[in-house]
Amino acid sequence: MSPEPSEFDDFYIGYEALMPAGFVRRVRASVAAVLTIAVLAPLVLIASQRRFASGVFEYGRTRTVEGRLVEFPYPALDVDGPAPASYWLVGQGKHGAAQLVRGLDGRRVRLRGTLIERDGENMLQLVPDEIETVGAAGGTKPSAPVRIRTLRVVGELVDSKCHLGVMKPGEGPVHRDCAVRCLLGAVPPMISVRGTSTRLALVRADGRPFFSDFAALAGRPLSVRGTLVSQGTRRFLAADLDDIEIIR
Amino acid sequence: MSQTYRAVGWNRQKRRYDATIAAGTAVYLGLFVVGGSALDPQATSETLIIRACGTGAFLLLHVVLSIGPLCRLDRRLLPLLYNRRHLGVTTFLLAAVHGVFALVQFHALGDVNPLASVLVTSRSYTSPADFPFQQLGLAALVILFAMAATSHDFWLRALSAPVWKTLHMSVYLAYALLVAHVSLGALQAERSPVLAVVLLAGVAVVTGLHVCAAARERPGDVDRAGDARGGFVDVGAVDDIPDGRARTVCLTGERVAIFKYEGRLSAVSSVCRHQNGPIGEGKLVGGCIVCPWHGYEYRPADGCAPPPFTEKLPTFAVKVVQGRVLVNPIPNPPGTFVEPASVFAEAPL
Repeated sequence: MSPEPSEFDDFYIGYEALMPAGFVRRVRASVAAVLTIAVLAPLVLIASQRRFASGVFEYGRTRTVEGRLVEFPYPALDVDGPAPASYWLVGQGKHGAAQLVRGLDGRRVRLRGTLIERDGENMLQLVPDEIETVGAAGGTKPSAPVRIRTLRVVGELVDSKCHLGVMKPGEGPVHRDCAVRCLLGAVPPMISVRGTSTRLALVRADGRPFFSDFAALAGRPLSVRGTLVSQGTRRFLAADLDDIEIIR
Repeated sequence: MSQTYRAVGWNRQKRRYDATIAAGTAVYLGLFVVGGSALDPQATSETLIIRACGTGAFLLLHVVLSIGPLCRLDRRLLPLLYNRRHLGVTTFLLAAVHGVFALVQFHALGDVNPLASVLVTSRSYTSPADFPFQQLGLAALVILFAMAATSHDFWLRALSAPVWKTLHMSVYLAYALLVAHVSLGALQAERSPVLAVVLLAGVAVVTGLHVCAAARERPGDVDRAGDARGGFVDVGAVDDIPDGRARTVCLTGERVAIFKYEGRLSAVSSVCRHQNGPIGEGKLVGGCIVCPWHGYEYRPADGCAPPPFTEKLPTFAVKVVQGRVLVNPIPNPPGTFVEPASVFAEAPL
């Protein structure tokens, strides 16, 4: 005598056209459960993720801007006239613009680039070979750096290009490697001050630029004690490496 | 089973299976990207694609890993396992899109090769907050690629079943790497506890199902070889084995399936040569044992797949004494013919 066959009567291999009813019911229930998760999971995840920053990167669009070029400490373009503005300048990819504007300090230039903007901070990603000198050095005098006060800020070291709009997120641990590569590529470093929309370009205490010196600190919370310096509409935090410490 | 190479042996169920995968994947990605854009107009499409594909691949990997133990707990779910490799390949494709987009976004157009950048940019291995989590993701992607690339039975034959199975068991290493990748990466950047709860729930489901399946099978894995008397082990009453089916016992570390059919008993290894499927849960169909996982067939008396197939199982000597089934725990070489024991004729003790 053998056991009752009910325990064993259903047998099915996936290549058979017809599935036993018991298998059909169980498989359908399982597929329905997985598809329900496929609908609910993305909704839960997108509702739970951090909101994206407001930065803008006009990818695929370029604009022509004319102004006076500032080479140091980081490349920038000061536009005068009825609507004065200042643009940080960077190169393509994870590169700064120092090579592109070498020797043009103080010259009046017309250049083409893609706008990057966040909270009123402007930047142009330059189109190579589209920088045209339209006047000799001189004319309007560049704004002299003005030391405002010493202060201590807590924030994150970011590469300005990604942070201002090319990447979202352009800060934090997920973006850290990208920030390191950008800083190594001479994109101007900035301190994004914690809990505010304030960003300060970071320079050495003597006003020279920082680049690869502290790239490894990118994406980490830092405390920086330095001097707040303004030059036109651009603001800097002047500090030495000894004034920068990683905090938790 | 197929003797000639075919990329995919299409049949009705396989088409429905793949259509369901495609529909589920499309719904997931569509909801993530479209919903993400609608909920947050500042979102960028490349970041949404990275996140949609990454989370989609991770979710799908949970499904892939859950199917095995679910089928151990309820064999009516075996149709989900039959085409599981299609889920695995889809998982890899989503992970590859995630990886390529992330590689381009975070590492391309810099001063070093993007792949080199992943490996050298961060080396802070001692701090969880600063750990180079992308390297973990890359390692997992390499494993998923190796599995997807060798998922076809062509590679099963080329690599041999033990090598192939070992390679594909590395999915658990890939899963562990991805749990760490997510924990040390995305979770460090996000503030909502919901994401951590979702991750923990996923790990709990996968772990819990494996523990439950293992607990259910443990009694059958108690090795009975030590009970041998006169070289044979009493594995139970003849009447306890249903016709056309098997009883599975563990002898000298190997699961042995004793099939009853047409008034006879034969014992073969319960480990299918294809993917280690449980032969003992199979059925005699047309004179051959059929593996419940993918339908591989073997003759019960000699453990050989019918021509032109070449797979062979080890066989075991069987006899019946006073209504009890006795099995010699020492396996014969694969493909060795063993005269089936009659359930009616009593062998001498």
